[in-house]
Parts: sequence; structure tokens; C-alpha cells
Amino acid sequence: MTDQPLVARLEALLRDHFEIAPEALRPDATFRELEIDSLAMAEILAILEDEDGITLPPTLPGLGGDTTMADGLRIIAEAAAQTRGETAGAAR
Amino acid sequence: MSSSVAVTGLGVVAPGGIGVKEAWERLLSGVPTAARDPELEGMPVDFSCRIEDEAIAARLGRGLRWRTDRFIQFALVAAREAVADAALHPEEWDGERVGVVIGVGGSAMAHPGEYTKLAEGRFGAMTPSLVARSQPGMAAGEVSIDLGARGPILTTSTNCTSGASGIAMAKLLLDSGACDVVVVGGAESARNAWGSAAFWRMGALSTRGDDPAAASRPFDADRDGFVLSEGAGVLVLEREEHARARHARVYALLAGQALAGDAHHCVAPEPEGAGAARALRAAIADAGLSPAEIDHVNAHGTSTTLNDLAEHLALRAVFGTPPPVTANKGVFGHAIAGGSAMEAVFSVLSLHQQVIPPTANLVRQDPEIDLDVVAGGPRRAVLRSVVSNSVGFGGHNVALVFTAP
Repeated sequence: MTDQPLVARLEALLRDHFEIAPEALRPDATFRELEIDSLAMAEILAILEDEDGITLPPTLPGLGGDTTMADGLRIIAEAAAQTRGETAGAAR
Repeated sequence: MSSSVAVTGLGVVAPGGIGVKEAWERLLSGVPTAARDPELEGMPVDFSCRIEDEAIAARLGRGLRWRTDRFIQFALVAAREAVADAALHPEEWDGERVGVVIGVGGSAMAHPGEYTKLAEGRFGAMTPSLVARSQPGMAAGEVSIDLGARGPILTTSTNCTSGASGIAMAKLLLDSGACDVVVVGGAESARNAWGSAAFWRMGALSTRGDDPAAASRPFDADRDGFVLSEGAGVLVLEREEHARARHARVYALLAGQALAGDAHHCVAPEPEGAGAARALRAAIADAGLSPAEIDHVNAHGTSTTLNDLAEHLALRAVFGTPPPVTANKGVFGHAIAGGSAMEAVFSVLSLHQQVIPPTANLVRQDPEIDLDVVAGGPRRAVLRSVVSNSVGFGGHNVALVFTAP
């Protein structure tokens, strides 16, 4: 299941941290069109690790320049939910 | 003697003035920019000359701040202004004939949070932008990307003279025929917590915390150190034939440059100013002039006890009776690489407008300093040639000679 609050948070990062114009943030825009390159993608993962305590692998399957924003944020959110689940399971 | 190169565009990002016009008006007003700095609250020196975050963000445009430190942002804004001022159009120019040289003294100092993560072993939480945002060479790199300048790109790092040595190297690139145009200057943000603590601990900063506006006082008897600042200055330099061929407005000519080392001490100037004197003499000779033909000196004037005395002795040694002197750091503080580049821009403007800006806070001139220091208000003067003098830790000395076109 997709973590809707996390998708909203990632959208806010694109808007506020990367300063992408709100009108450019369309669900069907690709990361390439948004100028989210591999350095920017690594920045997203570092912010999640620093501020949310979510550690993701450096590359996620299906995530690249041609991925749309909607698909990309869903892939990151699903991976984050899985990581959280594993952490929660380990804690139990 | 070398051939002259033309100065055809200017750009400045300074505390109290983003853009050449605002910064120059602030300098002519003689009103200091030093004030309490919220980022330095609780520190031994809690004041600086600061550029407002909102002002620089508005000029920079979207999408650059997350991966660039302030010195890069200042370089980009000043470079764009200088190129537009030169009426050059990056979409039309032959980018392979355009070079970029941006001096940077030090960087990677503004990231206590990242160093904390390093110390705590939280490696995955460190920003991947840390290298791209902080290395000195990134200023020239980002300006080259922003403008599509694909000629020689270079960073000079000679401490407080980094902007001036960049301008000297740009002239050599043009003299050699390596390119036709160089976008050149210096950029720095030294007024962060690291800078304030480190320069204070070595005794270089003014501690006049009860009256920050009066703290930077070059050549004044009551000076007690410099005030940290930030900013950038950029000039467009062109081979003279190139500038004439496109009917560019020529503000001034860069007629001569020279560098010299003190070979004396890590941070103290040679007490007689011998290295500075050698750079001044060599630059004036490179311009094909004699010291008597220099009409004005834009001094380094940091407001430290030792530096101002040594610079005074250097000027006496070269000129006998030196021409009128001014020190821009009274208004803008010490922006390291950005400072020497801004001072080159202001030297050009003095020539262009035939006016010498005042030295702020010169209330009682040090009786040991026998110079005609312009103070109180701007002074009109007939200026045909102006020297911009810079000295730095490590015994770096750079002199630039600008002449009327």
C-alpha cells in the first residue's frame, strides 16, 4: 500500500527544497524533465535517511530519468514502507 | 610591458548592495554595512557584513540553492550581471573563446551539520551535494555551465588576494591568445560560524561588538582588526581588438598586473611591505607607466594594525608621496576573494566616473600612517590610472593597474 503522507512529503521536497516550479510538478512529468538527476535523487534519499530515519538502497529498481513523478514517488514510498515494516518487525 | 585588455562589463554582489549600481552608491555614501549577525549569536565575534538570504535567492532563480554554497551563488549572480552589462549574449557567442576565472580563498566551512553527521557515523544522511556545493573550483565550474563558456576555466586560491590574482591570470590568458573574453572575479562567504571563530581565535578580527558599524576602520588609529564579510565581484575582460570590433563600451583598460611573494611569515605581512612594493612596481612597469603617473590607489586596507602599517610603507616606498588612497573595507568589511575582486570593480568605476569613494570610519588617522586617505565624502579627481592593491596571508601580493580607455 502506498504511503500517501510520504508521497505528499516528497512532493513538498521537490517544490521547496529543489525549488521546482509548482506548475511543472505534474504527475506525468519525468524526473529528467524536472531536472532530478542522479545527484538530486541521492539527495532525496539522504534527506529521508537524515530527517525520517529511513535508509534506502542507493538505487531502486524502476527509478530513472524516464520515470514519471507519480510512478517515482510511489516507488520510493513503497520501498520506504517496506523498510519501515522490516524495522518494525525487527524491533518486535 | 604587455598589451592592455579591455574591461567591458561589471558585476557586484555586496552586503547592502546587490548589483553594481546599489553597491557603488553604498560605497560612495560611506555608510558601513557591519551589523549584528543572527547566525553568529553567542559567539566571541557576533557581527559581520551580511548579504540578505532573500535578496540573493530572488536574483539566483530556481533550482540552484540546494546544490550550491553562497560563494557560488554570489559568483553566478555577479557573472550574469557583468555579462549582460558587457552586452554579450551567451546564446550567440563562440563559447569556446570565452574563459571563466573565479578566485576563491576558502570554502567547505559552512557545514557544521554535515561534519556532525560525519563524526556520528551517519554517512547515509550526509548530503551528496557536499562536494559539488563546496569545492573552490565549483564557482568557475557553475559560472561556465550557467553561461555556456567552454574556454579555459580556472580557480585561483591565494587567500585574501584570490580575486585579484584571478584577474591577473585572466589577463595572461588573453595575452596568450587562449581566448577572446574572460569572465573573471572572486567570490567568498567567510562570515559563517567557522570563519568567525577561526579568524577571531588567531586575533585577526575586530572585537568592537558594542559598535559593529564602527569596527572596520582602515588606517584609523583605533582600528583593532577586520570584519568578516561576503560577496563577489566580476569583470568581463576582452582582448582590445575583440572589444573594438564589436563596438563594446570600454570602462577602462587593464594595463598591467603583477604578483609577488613575501617569503616571510605564514600570516604576518613583511613589516616593510617589501613584497607588496615589488608587486606594485612590477605591475606599474607592466603597464608601461612610472609610479608618478598613477593618480589613485585603491588599497587593501583591512583595518588590522600590522597590515595597514605595512601597506602604508609599501606605498611610501614605491611612490614617495603616494596619490590619494581609499579603502573599501570600511564600508563592506573583508570578503576575502570577493573583496579583492569588488575592489577591482570599484577601481574601474573610479576611473570611469572620476571620483574616489570615501574610507568609512576614518575619524583619527593613525599618526604613523602618512597617506592622503580620502574620507568624509567622495572626492572628485582627474584620474587616468588607478592601482588596485591586494595583500594576503601566506605573503601573497597582487597589484592591478587600470587606465582610462
